[in-house]
Amino acid sequence: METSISTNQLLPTLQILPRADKLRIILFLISQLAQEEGIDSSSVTENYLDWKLYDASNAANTLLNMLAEDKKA
Amino acid sequence: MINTEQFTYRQVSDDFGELNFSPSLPLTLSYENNSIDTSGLLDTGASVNVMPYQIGLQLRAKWEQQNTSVQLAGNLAKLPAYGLLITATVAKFPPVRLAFAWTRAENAPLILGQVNFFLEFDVYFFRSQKTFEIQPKQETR
Repeated sequence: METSISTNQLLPTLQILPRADKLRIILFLISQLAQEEGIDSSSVTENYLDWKLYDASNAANTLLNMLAEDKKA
Repeated sequence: MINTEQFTYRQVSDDFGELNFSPSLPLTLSYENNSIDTSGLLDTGASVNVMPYQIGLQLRAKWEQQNTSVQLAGNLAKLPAYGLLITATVAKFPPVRLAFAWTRAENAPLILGQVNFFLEFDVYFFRSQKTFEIQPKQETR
């Protein structure tokens, strides 16, 4: 069974959401619209707090080598 | 005798305006004859220490003179970064050498990661009490 919700029903629900959820919805909508238009929206919608530094093993090795050289000097 | 310093989590507001508590460590960074007092995020999930561009400039490091390129991961992978050796002082502990990936990113926090902050200091998190304790690494016999 197909269900649908009208804008008039949706808006009051959106209004009572916490601020953070409202912002997440904005980012979601930007991403959806950009996808439909074939635009890369990653620079707008990506969470720039998500640094994902856990897998920077090459960088870690480079820094360890620098420290080893520094210790020798 | 083990020498430990206790710190409290800092209250921060994230991008969405939500309040949270962050293990932010005050420390002094020194490079050549320049020093600044700042704070770094203790990030056990980060492979490396990361220094945002502006902090390096405040320490009078010269971006164009760096020659050890470092490849970061995640969102920071898009931007160039160089290895930079810094002397760091935490509380009353003796200064240590920390290697940072100095990124061209300006909106990154100062991150203290596994290489090599957590190789120099042992950290105990008490998140439920919003405190953490730090001590210099213990030399193994």
